[in-house]
Amino acid sequence: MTLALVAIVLVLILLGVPIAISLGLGSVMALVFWADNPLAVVSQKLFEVRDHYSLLAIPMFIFAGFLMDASGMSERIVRAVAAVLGFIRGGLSIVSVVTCMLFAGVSGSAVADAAAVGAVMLKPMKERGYEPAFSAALIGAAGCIGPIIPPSIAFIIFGVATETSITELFLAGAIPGILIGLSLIVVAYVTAVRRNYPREPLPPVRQMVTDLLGGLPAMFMMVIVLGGILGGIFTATEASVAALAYGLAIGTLFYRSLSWAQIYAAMIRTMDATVTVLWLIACASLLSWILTSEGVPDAVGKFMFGLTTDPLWLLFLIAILYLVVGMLIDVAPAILMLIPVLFPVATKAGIDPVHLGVVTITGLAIGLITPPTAPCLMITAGIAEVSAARAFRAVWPMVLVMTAVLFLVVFFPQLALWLPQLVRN
Amino acid sequence: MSGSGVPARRAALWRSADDFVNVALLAVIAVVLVVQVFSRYVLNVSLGWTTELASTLLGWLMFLGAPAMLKRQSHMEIYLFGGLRRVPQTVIRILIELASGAFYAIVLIGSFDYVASTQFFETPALGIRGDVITAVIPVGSAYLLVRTAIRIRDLLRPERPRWIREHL
Repeated sequence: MTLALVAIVLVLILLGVPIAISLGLGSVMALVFWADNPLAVVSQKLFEVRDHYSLLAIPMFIFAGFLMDASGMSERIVRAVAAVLGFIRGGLSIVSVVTCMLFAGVSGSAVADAAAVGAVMLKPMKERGYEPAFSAALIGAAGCIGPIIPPSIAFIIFGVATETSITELFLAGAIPGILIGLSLIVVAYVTAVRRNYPREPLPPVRQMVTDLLGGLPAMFMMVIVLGGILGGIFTATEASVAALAYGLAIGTLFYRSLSWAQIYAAMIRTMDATVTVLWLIACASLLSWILTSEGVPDAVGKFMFGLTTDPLWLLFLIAILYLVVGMLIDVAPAILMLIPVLFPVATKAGIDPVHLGVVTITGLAIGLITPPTAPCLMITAGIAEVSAARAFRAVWPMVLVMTAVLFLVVFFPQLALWLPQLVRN
Repeated sequence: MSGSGVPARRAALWRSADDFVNVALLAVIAVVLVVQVFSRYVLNVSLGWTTELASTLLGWLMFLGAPAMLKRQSHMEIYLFGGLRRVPQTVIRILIELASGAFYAIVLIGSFDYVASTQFFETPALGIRGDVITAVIPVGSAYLLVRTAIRIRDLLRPERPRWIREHL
């Protein structure tokens, strides 16, 4: 039954049926036609999604991110970062990466980060002589930091699916996310030196101070979220509420750039994004329930333990699987499809669930810029008016350094676990 | 001009009615959570009903928001047939919608028994009957079926809304 179920789900997905519906329809067939369960079980399992209190953080973080974006925050962050880092060779490319890192502390969505920063940075980079394919690839890659640096919708989904502390997952993502950002800055700098990309003139002191002050309130949201969680003040859900209240206050009272129409539009976008994620989680929980009751994790565990029993090498194999799956499937559905099977195997092998979470999100996030789907890259390539083929050729250095960081995190668990352990102690 | 403008505005408002409901749900969730955090940290009072209400509304948003979302976009998908001509793509899209419709129909049929089974439960803090909460499942599923039928009709029309133009 299991093989037939997996085959049905895969065929439906490849035929273009929405992933949530594919998971749901395949599971319904297995539940009702093979296992002879009443149809009421389907409704019950789907509606159980509301029992996860942590999921309330998803609409709050998404809403906060959209509000900050609508209030022109990305431009202000760009100006603030450019005031400090623009003078370095290839300054605009470095500013792009740092802005994506800061934006990641607000939105938690890779595609949203890449689109917001790409919309602001790609045109001036082209005007200053940067190759558009390189710029699109760099910003697309930097956008992938979004789900790794907290707040992160992907970590919330992983936490809910595995009952792992979302607070600890958030903290664990910070250092790997910063490492990926730094590695991309190295790529940007080396490329800038080789291609002789320009430095930006230092702005007058008054302008520099104005730009910095303009960007500080936006950057302070990251301090609220990370600081609140790190200081043990907030849970992830409470941090999301604080972020939303702060975003609303900054947009309406400080920047004074948010209109009612923009708030309403942000709510509609939030609703669409939230509903998509909730249906994915609900339908995946159906599949997960069947796979677990059929003993699939045990079978996969036996197979994987036949390859290696060393936890780190096992995690290395899992990371490679993520890189491959991430090429085809978006982060959220990939987590929900793979984790019910891989999580029991990994924890049985002695891998820390938080460590697994960071490797999962980082590995799958790299798939956002690798062919054939590469949604982050496609969005920046579209803005830069670069063909997919040119963007794919330009993105490989970024993929390589990000993969190197992923493997570093695999083999040096403390990179992920140091911060959570600090808070635990 | 104004005579045709008013009915047009009314029609637009009517088309957006489900969005208003869902935006209201989202706003209430946000307000309830803000109240929860405020009362816990400022007033040092833990309000149990806030979690219950916010979770219930999240479940409602899932079922009432999905059909509203289908006006603008699809669920997340992998679409490999972008290179085909319009007619075969339309056929594939209709098959996809039929598969989605089949799933919503199954959820709808099963939901009646589930709703009936929850009628004797009450939520601990607010005392709301279970079937009042779960009634959103048949309502949302039926509306999803209606939306799916509208999407199939849109696929067969020469002039096409945005969600189709983005796909085909």
